[in-house]
Amino acid sequence: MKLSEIQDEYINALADLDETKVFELTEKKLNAGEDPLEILNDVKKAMDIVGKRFEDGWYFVADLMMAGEILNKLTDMLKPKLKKSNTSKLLGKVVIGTVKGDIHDIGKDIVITMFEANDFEVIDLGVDVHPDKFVEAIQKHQPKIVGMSALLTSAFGSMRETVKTIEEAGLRNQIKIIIGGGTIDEDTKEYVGADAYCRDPVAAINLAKKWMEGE
Amino acid sequence: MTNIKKILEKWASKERIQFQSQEAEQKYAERAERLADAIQLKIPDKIPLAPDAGLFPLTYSGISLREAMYNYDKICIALKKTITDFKWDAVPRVPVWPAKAFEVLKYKPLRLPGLGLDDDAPTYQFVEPGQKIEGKELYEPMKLEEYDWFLEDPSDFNLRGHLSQVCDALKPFANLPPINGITCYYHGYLDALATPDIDKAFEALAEAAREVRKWRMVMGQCLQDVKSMGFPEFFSALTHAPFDYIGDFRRGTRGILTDIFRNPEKVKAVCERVAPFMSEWGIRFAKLTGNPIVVFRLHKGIFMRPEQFEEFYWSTLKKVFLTLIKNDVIPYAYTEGDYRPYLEIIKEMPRGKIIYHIEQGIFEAKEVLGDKFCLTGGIPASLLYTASPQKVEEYCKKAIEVLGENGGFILDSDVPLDVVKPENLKAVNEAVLKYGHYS
Repeated sequence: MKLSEIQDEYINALADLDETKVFELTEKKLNAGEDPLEILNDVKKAMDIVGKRFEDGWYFVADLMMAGEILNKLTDMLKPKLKKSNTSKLLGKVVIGTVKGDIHDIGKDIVITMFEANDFEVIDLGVDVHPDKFVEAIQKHQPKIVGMSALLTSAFGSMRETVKTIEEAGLRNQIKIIIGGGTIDEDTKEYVGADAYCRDPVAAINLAKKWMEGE
Repeated sequence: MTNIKKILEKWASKERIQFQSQEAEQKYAERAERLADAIQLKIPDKIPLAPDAGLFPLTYSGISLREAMYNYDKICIALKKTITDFKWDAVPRVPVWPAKAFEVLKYKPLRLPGLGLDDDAPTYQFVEPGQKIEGKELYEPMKLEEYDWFLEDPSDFNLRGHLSQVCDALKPFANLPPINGITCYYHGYLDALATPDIDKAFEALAEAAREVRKWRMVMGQCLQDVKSMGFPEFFSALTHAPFDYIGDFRRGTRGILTDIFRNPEKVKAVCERVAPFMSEWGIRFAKLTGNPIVVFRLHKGIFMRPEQFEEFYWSTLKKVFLTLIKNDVIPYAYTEGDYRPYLEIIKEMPRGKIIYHIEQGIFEAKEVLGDKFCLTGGIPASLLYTASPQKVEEYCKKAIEVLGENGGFILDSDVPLDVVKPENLKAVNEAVLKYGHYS
């Protein structure tokens, strides 16, 4: 088998979420002395395919979740083997959390995995996050993007309050705010005072990348 | 269709209701008929309006959840005020449960105001198995290897494996011997119960049950009161899709959704195992409450591809639906999230025997399902939360005209409400008054 064929097989196995095969091949690659960074690049390509399949309506949330599981396991396995200088360039920083009054985290966690797979550094504030916590994190980490998640309509008020608190702290102009989750729509975005709302994780990644390119 | 007619006649029956006035009695009959017509895909006199009001009655009445969850009369005060002011076609269920029961059991999945949440929190929160709060897992999910225990003997797993895990007060149950060897001859099984720990656990269970009884008495009386004011009850009991039962309460979302890739046969086997229990719960509670309309809040199907949905979610859910239908129960399938990818699949049910609530994409759903099933939904809660009354009325006009066409439709919010603007709900009433009449 040619090298490029092996590479294709690897990317396809991951895009098809064939966990067993992915780990067998990863072992093989490492044993053959392949650079972990190269492997991670293939992983990224596979994740792009996963995202594309989601956009096309073929893959669903369970697929993204499974892809995330495999990805996290792979990253844990490969990261320690990377040389310090040999890590890929970060596109930007994102602070993200489920707002106060809500603890739903399925969507948020998938978005985080997707951001990380796309070279963003993510600071996860967890769930039920107080507005002040968002402010502190923005001051400390200086992100370009802040993501807020909520499934409950009762948390819309909490999102709005979070945006207001960020404004009052004088930080609103240095960040873009994306909201997402459940029944959130254009009206919610207006009400909350966010810059955008996204219906799914892939849309959020695409938008964030666009923002970063616009820098 | 005939048995549905009979079931609904019984459901609409005014027997055993002491009406406050003749007008109340007449209104009750009108409202019940309106809903029953829609359920049977007939054209009622006007669009039935039956919002799943969630906790809105509390916020509307200025009563906090914390107050209401200890003082059940407050739930009833809120419900009566809301139904008097909005005059919907059905009494909504107010999802406030007896906090003390959960407190006594130290039940971990439910976080309530003052019990894990701020005192003034407007809603409760359900914490899934394995979910992390402040970086800490509140309780462990059912383990992968416990699938086999569950399959072998679900009751034993539930008693010793599950209850001991989710209720701190029932932890000692983990040390019980398996109940399937029970005998009372001489001292038999009792020996295993004769420890102070077990004693305390049973006492907690009994105390919790006593509290639930108190709550049920108040709520039962309250329901009679609002019925006597002229308002029928739409649905009452609840059961689950087998996949949700395992996903929501045992394995957690991440657990079960990755299991469909890693351990697909286990997931299918366990769903098959619980399907008859889910049916039995539905039928039993329909009898107990006297209300044949049983709701299913459908949670986790939407995360799957249609072929996975069919294989893992629908295959057992449809069995539960059909068993209920055979037993004169009307399943009310409350779909949560976007069901557009699955409409053709859920269309498989027999015509007019099931009600579908549609959260997202209801206009598409009307086209696919509208001539076969009664649909509920149509008003986005986000609109009620953020928009102006004028915008709400405009939106409702369109919903009424398109979704209400040819009957078989009940106007409802897309998700249960909580803190929406009351003036927007008034605007919904206005819209129904102006545009909701069929003749």
